Amino acid sequence: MLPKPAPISQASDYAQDVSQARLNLGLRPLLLLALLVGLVAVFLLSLALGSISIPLDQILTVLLGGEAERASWTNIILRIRLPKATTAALAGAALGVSGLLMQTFFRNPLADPSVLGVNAGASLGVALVVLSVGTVGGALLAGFGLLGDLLLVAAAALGAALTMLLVLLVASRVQHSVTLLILGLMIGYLVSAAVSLLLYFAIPERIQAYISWTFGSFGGVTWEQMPILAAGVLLGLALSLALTKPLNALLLGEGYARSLGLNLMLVRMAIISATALLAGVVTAFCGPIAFLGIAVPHLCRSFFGTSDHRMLVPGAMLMGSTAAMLAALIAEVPGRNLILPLNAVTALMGAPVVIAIILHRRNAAQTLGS
Amino acid sequence: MNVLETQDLAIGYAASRRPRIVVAQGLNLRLEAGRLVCLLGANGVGKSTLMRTIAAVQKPLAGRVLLAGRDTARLKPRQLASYLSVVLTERPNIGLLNGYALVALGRHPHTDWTGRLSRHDEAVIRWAVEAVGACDVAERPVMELSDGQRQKLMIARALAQEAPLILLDEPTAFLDLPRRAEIMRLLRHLASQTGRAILLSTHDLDLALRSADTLWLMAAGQVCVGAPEDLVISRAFEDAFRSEGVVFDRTTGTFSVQAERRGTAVVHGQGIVHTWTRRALQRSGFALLDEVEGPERHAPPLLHIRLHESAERVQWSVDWGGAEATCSSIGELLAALQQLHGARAARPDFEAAQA
Repeated sequence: MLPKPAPISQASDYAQDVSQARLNLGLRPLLLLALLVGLVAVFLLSLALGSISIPLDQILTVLLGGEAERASWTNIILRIRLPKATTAALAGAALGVSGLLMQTFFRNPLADPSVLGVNAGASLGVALVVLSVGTVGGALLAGFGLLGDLLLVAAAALGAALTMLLVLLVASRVQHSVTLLILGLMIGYLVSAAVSLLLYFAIPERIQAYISWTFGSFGGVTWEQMPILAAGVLLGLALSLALTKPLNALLLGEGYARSLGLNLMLVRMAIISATALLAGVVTAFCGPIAFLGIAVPHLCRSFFGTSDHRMLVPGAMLMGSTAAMLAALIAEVPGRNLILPLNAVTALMGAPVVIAIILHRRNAAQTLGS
Repeated sequence: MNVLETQDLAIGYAASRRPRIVVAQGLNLRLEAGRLVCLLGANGVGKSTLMRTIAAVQKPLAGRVLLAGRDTARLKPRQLASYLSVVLTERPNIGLLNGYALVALGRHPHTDWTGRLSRHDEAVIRWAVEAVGACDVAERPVMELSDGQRQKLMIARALAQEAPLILLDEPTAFLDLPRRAEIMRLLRHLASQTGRAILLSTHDLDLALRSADTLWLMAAGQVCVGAPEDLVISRAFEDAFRSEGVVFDRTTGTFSVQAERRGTAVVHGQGIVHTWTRRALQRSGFALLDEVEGPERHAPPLLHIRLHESAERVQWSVDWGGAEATCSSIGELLAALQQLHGARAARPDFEAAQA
């Protein structure tokens, strides 16, 4: 994705060398490396910390296929912490990138994956399963066990996919992305209203099950489910990386982007598909995770000091992963037998960051690059 | 071959279940390489519709738009981008990009899917920034730049796209007068030096008269084409802008705001003082005899103003239907005319004289 470093000219023309630096990304790729180091550190930390602490050398032993000093440590790492950290890393990257896509596409600093109504669609799917199964068959869902989890995931994925299809259908008939933004929000409200109605007529125990899903969690994904999550996220990320050039053209607005030879309809569909895939699959497996989608892109622009998507897309992946793992780590409250709702933690972490950035940069819309 | 040609083009809006709105039709326009053409017309006459149709943002109602002989309706977006670049009225806030990165976006149609810039691309970008004289600001974040500097970079971006035709939609709209003149001079220079055909729409009539090789005057569903001076002499220019309260002085090539009509005047003399006396009279509501046609031409009484210039001073002597005055500045002259007009209006035979 990144341009090859320009070869140093034989003539060693000073002016030319300076110009090369201006036109390329300068030292910014080094920042990506720094982010990667941070990511690995947080990844190892989230394996080490939790209700009990495990020494780092034991973690490395287990990761390299060995056995830890205590059998329980091996179990904790491989069965609980590794899938959880992996899920957080994948989900964070997905949410960060989909937030970036939405903010650039809608040229709006407040946009995030939820503006397309994908989260609301997933919520409706889950609400339908949890609440209606409850009314029909009593404790049926509780008896499902693993099957019940899969049912939830399937319902959320189906809800997200149907909403996405609806938005795509609308997008193919709409001229301006602002109209689409409003329509997406409206579809989100409609679906949320349906969820509210379902909740209103549901029995309290079922509501509890739904509410706990809305708290969000990275801990529910098993190794059996991981390939599905990973495939969805990696596909979405690959599509996003392929979209860096059109995303940069969109910085100028749709009118200029079209004049640069961009097939607007095609690009629009690709961006919406990538976002819906990323946000949909994450919401299906982890619940509606708030704030990462909106905060990570802003963090990235400040960190890299550019609106160039050649840096921002990989940056949002790394930063999103790191932020999600940090949030999961804090939600665990290391050293205690206590787990906080993930969404409370992401909001507690994310809101101050967004506020600080908006106050720091006089105008968030300016840093947005739109 | 013409860079741009329209064949029996009809422009306007066609929506289903509504009658078609034809803005203009039968347009056969041509634009050659190296020419600067200004598209002029009153507000709402359809300049933007024509620009949008040429840029293939909007479909023609009939006829064709040819870019270097190829029908725009059959060009793919990317092909179109290699024939045509644009500078739009909207001023995008492109955030944390510097000038070079902004201009680099113009290479979009020439790069592969990763957007990687080759050495040739980089050379073109540097050339474009130099061509508009923006080297000193191109390293700064665009959001820190002034409107004029930003507009230069947007023009450099269009240049870097290496299309033979550049369309600019009111490129001077947000700029102050010196900046407007600078941008127009730059565009003139670019047209002749780089061989680009440049078509711009503008409301800046004076600058257009002074800068364009050719004017496209749009009025009443027609486009009148010619050298600026020819269009002035043939009165096509003033006809296109004939509206209540604005008068075009063909002698000086300027528009003036018309006040309530007080009479018809003749200024005897020449030179700078003559020119500015005319302007002062137009400003305060007098029609000038050589600009007036028809019965009004002989409506009595005619205001005669004679200039007496000597080495030390200038004097204006006034003769208005028998009432006389002598003044030593235009300010005094206008005050005297005000007084005379008041006195005439108070006379009982004023109505008859006016009729």
